[in-house]
Amino acid sequence: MVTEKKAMTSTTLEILTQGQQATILEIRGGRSIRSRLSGQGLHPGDHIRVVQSSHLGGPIVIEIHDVTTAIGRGMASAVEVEVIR
Amino acid sequence: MRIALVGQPNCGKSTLFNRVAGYKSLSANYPSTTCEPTTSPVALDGQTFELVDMPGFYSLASTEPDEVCTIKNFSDRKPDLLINVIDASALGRSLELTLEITELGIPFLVCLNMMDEAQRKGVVIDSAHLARDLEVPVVATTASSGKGVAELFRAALAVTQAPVHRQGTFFMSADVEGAISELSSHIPSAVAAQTGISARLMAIRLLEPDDELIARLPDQPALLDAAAQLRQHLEQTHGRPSDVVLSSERHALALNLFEHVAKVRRSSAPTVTQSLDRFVMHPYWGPALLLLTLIVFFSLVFGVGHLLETPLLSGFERLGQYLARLLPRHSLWASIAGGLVQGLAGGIGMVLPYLLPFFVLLALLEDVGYIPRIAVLMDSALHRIGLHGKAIIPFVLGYGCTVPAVMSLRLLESSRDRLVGGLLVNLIPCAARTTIIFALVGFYLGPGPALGFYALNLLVVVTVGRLLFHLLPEATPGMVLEVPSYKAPALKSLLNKVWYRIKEFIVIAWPILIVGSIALSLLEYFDLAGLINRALAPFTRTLLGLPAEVGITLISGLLRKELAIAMLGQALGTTQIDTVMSSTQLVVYTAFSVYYVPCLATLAMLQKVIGLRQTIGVALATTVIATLLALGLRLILGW
Repeated sequence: MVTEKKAMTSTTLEILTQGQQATILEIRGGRSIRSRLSGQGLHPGDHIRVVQSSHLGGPIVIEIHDVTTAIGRGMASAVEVEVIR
Repeated sequence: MRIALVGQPNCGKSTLFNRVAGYKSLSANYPSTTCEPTTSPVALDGQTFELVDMPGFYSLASTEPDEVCTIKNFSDRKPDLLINVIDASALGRSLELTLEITELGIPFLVCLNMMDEAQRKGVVIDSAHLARDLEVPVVATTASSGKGVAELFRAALAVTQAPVHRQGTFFMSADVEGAISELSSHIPSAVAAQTGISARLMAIRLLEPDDELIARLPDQPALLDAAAQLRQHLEQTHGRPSDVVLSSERHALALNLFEHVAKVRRSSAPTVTQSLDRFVMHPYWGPALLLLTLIVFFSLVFGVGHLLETPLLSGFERLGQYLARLLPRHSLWASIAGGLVQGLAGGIGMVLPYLLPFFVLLALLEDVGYIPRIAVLMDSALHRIGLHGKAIIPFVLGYGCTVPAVMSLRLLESSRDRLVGGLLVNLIPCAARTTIIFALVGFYLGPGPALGFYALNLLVVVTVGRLLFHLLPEATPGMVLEVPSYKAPALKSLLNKVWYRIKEFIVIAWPILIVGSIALSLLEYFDLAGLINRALAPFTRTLLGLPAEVGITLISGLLRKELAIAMLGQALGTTQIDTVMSSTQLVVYTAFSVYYVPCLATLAMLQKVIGLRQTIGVALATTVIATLLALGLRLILGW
């Protein structure tokens, strides 16, 4: 049941919109992407808020652990999240 | 004694370094401005030590080239003490690196910097509690105002005199610790001693896995085998790659520690930064503001530059005339003196007037925190030429002077991006190239064709960028960039930064300019110009359809781009250049001299940043581009 619910609400960081909040479920992608994102403080279980959504293929700007970070669209698509609200 | 400042990018290490070391390091309100360690002797309370400003890195487990290089520096020449500089307003994230540092076995203390910023965000930190938990001294500072800096270095010196031996270890979950201790037991003590790190740290690195460490242990197949098995086991039980398992463990420990020592009082009202960013990074208002900023920026640079240039150049002219009267006419010495004055005039009179306002305004934009926002706005546009948003910084710099633009290429992570950026930035018309465009095309053919040159330039940059994208398709992993809060710039640190940059330009460019200028005078003195012109004639006259006399000016343009045009009048024997060159010739000459090989100062800097082979590649590529463009224009505009 739980897995079913996850599948329904889980999406990637890339397509979140301004003001949405989410929890990171998993960081996919290669070692270098994982290492760069974890360096910026993105880990499974973390809570994020979208400051500026990606538009025209630009980066998405999020707030995580009190820090604002811009993440390129390609990398953002490697971050699987669950929307809170 | 060596004391090194280590910390994550944008935590204020360089500002701190500058406070005590007398302004040698470059800091800006965007991450990773320091790319090579800067060292300075510091005297405090009658003691002297060597202070090292390390490039910022997020984690010791990083795979990024710059960061890996920093970590290497560590093992090559271990500092006696580390000062872990932490951005107090991002404490939760910063503590991950601190926990990694506890494993290094080098004595350290913590500098909680940017306390003012933390306060603004409502983060209250109990530094005494943090000191107890970490078992090292913790000193709170606000490096930008100098608050707490003296106390920090006193505490640092105290630690070097009476080293603190930390007792505790921050243990991860039981199964991860099990893997670490089992792997540690496989590590022969001789091997651990040889690598200079503890068996525990080595085990952690092997589990990550740290490929560089593995490459250093080819004679330990049993150990590597054990590591591979334990790694596989971890990945199976956690269902995640082992590097994620370890970084998540550290993250959990860091958050735990953070909750112990800090309280966050969140206010519901948006901060100033948040309110401003709604506008500044807005999909439509953002680019509009950026355009306006750039227009104001360049109008100011050229306005102020022009105002300063005229009196300076006339001063040098008088100096030249004075020396000419003093020395015997047509003597070797008169020729050398003439070259010297020309060299000085170029560096001081022609470049500096534009560089000075440019650096002041750039420092202002940097310190306020606008640059990372430009990177966010430009990211998608730059992706079309296979780069990402951060590359906008060298491009913007490039319109002023290519030398600092090349310096800022270090912001880009991969060597591929630096090479692509290194070529493209050399196609951007710097102030000197702008001089050529305005003095030839603008002056003789009018402002319309001159602006056309800029439109053509954008086309060239985009075309070459797209071409490189296909030739070197290595996809960049994309941009990850911290967007710092806006800050009010501090005048003193701003001026010091401007001075530092100008000094770097002077040190690299001036000697080359002066020596080159003298060499050019000697060419003239020994009447070698004709020889060079004849040698270049198949290219200049036959291929490009230019007067053969321009050959020598292209050689002087290597020295400094605007020197080509300064020499043109002399080479052609008239200041009315349009009487001896047709419109087509003017355009072809301008196109070639703008795009061919960057000036010597740029080449010297480029060699430092991207390496010799790549620099030669850039020089060749720009010559090919310049030739094709000049030929194309010649064909389009008629012989």
